[in-house]
Amino acid sequence: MLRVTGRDDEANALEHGELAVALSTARIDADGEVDEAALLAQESDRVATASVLADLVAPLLAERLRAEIASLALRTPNAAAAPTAAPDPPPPSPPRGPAEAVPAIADLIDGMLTQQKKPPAPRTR
Amino acid sequence: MIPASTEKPVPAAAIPANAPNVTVSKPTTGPASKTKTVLAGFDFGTNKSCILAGSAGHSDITVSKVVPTVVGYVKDGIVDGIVAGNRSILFGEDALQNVLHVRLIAPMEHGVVVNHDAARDFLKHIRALADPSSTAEIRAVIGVPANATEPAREDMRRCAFGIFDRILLIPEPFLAALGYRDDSRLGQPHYIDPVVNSLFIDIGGGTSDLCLVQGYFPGPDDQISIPFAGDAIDQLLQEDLNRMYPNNGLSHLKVRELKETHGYVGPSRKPLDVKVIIGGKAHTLELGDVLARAGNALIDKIYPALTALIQRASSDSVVTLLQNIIITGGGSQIKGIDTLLQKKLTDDGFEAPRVRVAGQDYKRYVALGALKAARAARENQWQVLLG
Repeated sequence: MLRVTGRDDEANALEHGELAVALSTARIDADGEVDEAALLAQESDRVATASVLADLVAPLLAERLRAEIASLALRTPNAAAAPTAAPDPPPPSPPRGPAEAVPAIADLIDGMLTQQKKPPAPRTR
Repeated sequence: MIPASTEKPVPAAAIPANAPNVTVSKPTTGPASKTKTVLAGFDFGTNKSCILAGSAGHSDITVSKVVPTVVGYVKDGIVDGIVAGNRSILFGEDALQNVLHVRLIAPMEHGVVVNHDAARDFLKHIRALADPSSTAEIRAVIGVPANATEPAREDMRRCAFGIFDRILLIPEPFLAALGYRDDSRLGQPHYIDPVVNSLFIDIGGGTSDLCLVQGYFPGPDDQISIPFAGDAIDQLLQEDLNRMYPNNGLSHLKVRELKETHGYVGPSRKPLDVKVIIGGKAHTLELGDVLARAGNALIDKIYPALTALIQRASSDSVVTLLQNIIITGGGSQIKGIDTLLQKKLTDDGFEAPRVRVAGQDYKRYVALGALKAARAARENQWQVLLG
């Protein structure tokens, strides 16, 4: 996981430190019955698959979360009685940073169509 | 390079269950009878439109045309042969070249349809350009001004009914970012993808649209549309000229030409002598102050919107954003506009801003982005116009 995320120095330190100790202990306990190389390869495949899945899913999750947050922002509590003072203007929506990874154009279009289905949020300009 | 699409034609009646904004109108020829699908990106500009098109499933652009957004209805009584082909309706350059023989109609104003019949005639002309054989199913992504109202969008759909088989309306500055993006450089270390973090200023004829583009589809608060652009500059210029030179007799087209040739922003440059022909005689007009006033009026409108959008960006993204402010549209050709906006931002304390113009291809970026969107759109995203 450290190598996949570009943290090679930490990965090397771990490999030569804790992992080396753990493997030595495991070899003694297993008494030669475990295919160590196959096990390490299996774990490496599992991490690679998880990383690819995260790259694919993360932008979609981010977009869904943004839609949910926008939807929550539109819901206002019912007023018990007519207010005597002018209501406070709604707080401006927090600035969004750029997306971690740019979604596909089709996903961007989905975002546009989702916005168009919702009633417009109050403008603070 | 525009990626190939895997779009396939579908029967007209097959309206996807989750298709949004379906308007009931019936196409005159169902797509089931059509031999192929053409995807089109269309920038329906107030003054100039651009159509780019290619067959679905191919990456080639087979049609690329910039057409002045004007329809000329030939006047009654014009002698045969005066108008080529004795046509009754002319479009674009043909209409402008026959201005004496036609009634010129501009179907758009401030980026929205104002003359429905002329808009439909113009769209039919565009359709014919995209598909001369008239046998293809045409799917068009059409640019609309940032924050276009729902009535304006519905007007566009009604104009397109029976002309395009399917459409998708997308804000123009976002399409400009998509079109400006160099797909061959994605992933290169020093290339800032304009779709990831940029601010686009699209100055057209009717509107100036500003848009934060940061890797997600911009919401209403990420876009500002100002109904002050090329046409408004022309009007200011004409008013000033009429005041200074009361019998100048310059047409609005001539004034626009003066702006396009000599327009600038910033401190007044005097003397700026321009030769014009009035009443058959050459006259020299000094236009330094007049042009400066008109151009700087645009800056006065755009700059507050620019700073408002910059301040909307998160603190994590704003430094890179400031390096990626891009001006496109016809207004990008106003001399000094990038330098002046950059200077104003610097003077106001913004950190190392970099404002640049999109370059000579500015007329095509919205249409190019629209074509990219057309090639990437999923089947259930297209809007079917029913009747």
